Amino acid sequence: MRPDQASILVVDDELELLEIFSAWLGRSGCRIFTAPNGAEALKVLRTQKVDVLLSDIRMPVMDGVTLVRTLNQMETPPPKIIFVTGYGNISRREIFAMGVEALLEKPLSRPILLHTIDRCLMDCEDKWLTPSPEPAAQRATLEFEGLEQATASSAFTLGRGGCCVACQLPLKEAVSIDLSIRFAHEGLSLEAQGTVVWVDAEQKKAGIAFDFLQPQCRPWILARINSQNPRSFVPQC
Amino acid sequence: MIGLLGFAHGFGSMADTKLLRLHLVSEALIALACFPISIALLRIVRSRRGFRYNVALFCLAASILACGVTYGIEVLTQWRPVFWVSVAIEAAAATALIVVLVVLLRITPNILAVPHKLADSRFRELIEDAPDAILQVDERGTIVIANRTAERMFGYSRVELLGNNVDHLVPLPSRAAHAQRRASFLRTGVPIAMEKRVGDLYARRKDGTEFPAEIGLSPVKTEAGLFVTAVVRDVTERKRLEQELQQERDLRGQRVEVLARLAADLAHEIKNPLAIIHARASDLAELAAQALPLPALVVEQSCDSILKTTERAIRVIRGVQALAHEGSHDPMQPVDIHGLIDQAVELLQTRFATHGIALETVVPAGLPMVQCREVQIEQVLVNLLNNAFDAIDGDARSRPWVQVRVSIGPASDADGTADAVHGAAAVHGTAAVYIDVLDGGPGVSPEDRGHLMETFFTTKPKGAGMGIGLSVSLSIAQEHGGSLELLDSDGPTCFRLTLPELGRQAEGASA
Repeated sequence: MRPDQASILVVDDELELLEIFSAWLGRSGCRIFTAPNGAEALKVLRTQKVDVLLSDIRMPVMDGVTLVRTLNQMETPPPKIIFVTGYGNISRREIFAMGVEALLEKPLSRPILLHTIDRCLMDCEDKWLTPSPEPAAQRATLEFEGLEQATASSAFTLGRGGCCVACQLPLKEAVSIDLSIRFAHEGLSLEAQGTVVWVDAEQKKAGIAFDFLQPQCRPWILARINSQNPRSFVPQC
Repeated sequence: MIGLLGFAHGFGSMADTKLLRLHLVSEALIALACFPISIALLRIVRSRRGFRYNVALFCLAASILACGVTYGIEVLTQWRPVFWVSVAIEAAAATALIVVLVVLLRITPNILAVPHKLADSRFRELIEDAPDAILQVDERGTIVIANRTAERMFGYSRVELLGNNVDHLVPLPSRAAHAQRRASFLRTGVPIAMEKRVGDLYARRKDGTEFPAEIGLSPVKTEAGLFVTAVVRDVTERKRLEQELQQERDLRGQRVEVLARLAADLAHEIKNPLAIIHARASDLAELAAQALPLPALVVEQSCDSILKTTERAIRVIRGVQALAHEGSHDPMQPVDIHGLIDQAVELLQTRFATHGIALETVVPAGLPMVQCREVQIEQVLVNLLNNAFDAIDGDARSRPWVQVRVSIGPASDADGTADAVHGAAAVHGTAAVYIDVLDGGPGVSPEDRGHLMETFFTTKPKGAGMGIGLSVSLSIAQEHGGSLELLDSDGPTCFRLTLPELGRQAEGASA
């Protein structure tokens, strides 16, 4: 979907920021709704078709986390969700497992906001088509006995927008990665460029959001995502 | 002697009267001396029950007693010839002496086998002034050795310790159990190291007081029987230090919690203004890059927003700085209470709002200035507000509101409604500023009221304990010549911080 056709709901208790974000998005031709807290946002979501929800986490009356949890329990498919936050008492791991697709830090610039919304509005197929011109900052090459086995033992879990893997290497958070995984039993492989969105150094696990998938592995991954239809964007494992 | 006796008995009355008198006096004296000697021996036997050689001692006492009686009878025979009685008692004395002789012959090798070094005074001194009390008890628990440290530690003299049962050194409630443990230790005979502590052990002094102790036990098998050496260490001081250390750790933990909470508030309170400033500035830069004449109104509005937001961020940082500042050495200065309250409320407003708790202030106009250390009073206020927050947030029955209400009143509590937990009377003079923090929480239970101001007292779940706490808040209030109390009323929970009005301070503070 093109951004100028999208409708976006901006939720923040900082009214001046609400005004600024609306102005930024309005200039791109989006249809804008605003709400000062989660409860007001729910009212808008019940009556309006919203493609992207851009929400603060810490707000009075109802915070962003409660808002997303409420949306997840509703029948209707939730919009794409982006969190914009200064601070939240929830881990990045939980945020992405709830289905949130991006986490932006305040303060943030207009180009980054627009770029993030653009990517959210893309279908998976399109989103993972173009490789990044820059080399990744880190690399992980993993070998599992089998896909089902790795999934059963929580060594590899696939979400809507990435995966969680058990990885002995020390990975860095919020940094790009070249990921290469082979599943020997099925003879499948996963070749991806992505971003490490969270790291659990104790459990030696990491959450990786995909930015690009090699054409040969795209079909089985998309098929698996479509058949399993996970709510999490990057699963917790 | 026998010749002399024969002489005395046979011809006494006719012979040398002087010699006879001397003879009779000597015999009477021997008889008299024998009685106390035998009584002393019998006392030793009685006091050292279980002593292995008690039979020998008893026979010795009996034979000495019999000898004494023999000599007494000798004197008596001068006037009444009771020779048969005399001979019978002599025979008894002889029998007793033979028993003593037999026993003595049997135990002599044992006595000789006692290591010579025990007699070594240097070795004894080593034990005497060891840092721990050293006691040795026999199989029945009778103390047979006690060093000087034991005398000091338990408050008994050595004479009192020796021969007494070791159970007397155990607190009354656990005496029976101690006797049983002693018996089972004797059966197994496995040494117990001092470090291997079985729960908390206590020992009892002569005056009945008790002290925490560590006790090591080791069995000693000797020719004279089985003994147990007990080494007792008074660990009162160490326990005190351990407790102090724990309290210190708790306090530090609380401070870390406060800082973590503060850091979270700070991140939120600072990043929002930064986001606004950042956005306004980047919009202006974008406009400028378009090389059009800049619309003056937009520039003015943006700059105005940037300035106002910057000031807001600075206020937040100042508030946090104030809270992180120790403040106890600041000079007392006249402070506008209204501004101080606004600052504390601004710092906490977001967290209250995020949890749906209304936080409002009621401050009358024309308040007098108050002489205080601003930072400390703000700390107290933030602490009271945090307590109110926790009380409401942690209880579903609560109504979600907190109010800071300021009023002026008489410094001493005239109507007597205040439940002065501590120190309300510290305020003298006529006028004071009351800062009341009221909340819609479930209130403080009657049993908790009395403990509220104690250090480390908390009604909050573990890990939620907050900050400087009421005990520190109270001492800050008192340093200011004021008070901190929980008002006693049927209405909402109300903590009252009373500060004397400017000018009355010195009077109150010196009280």
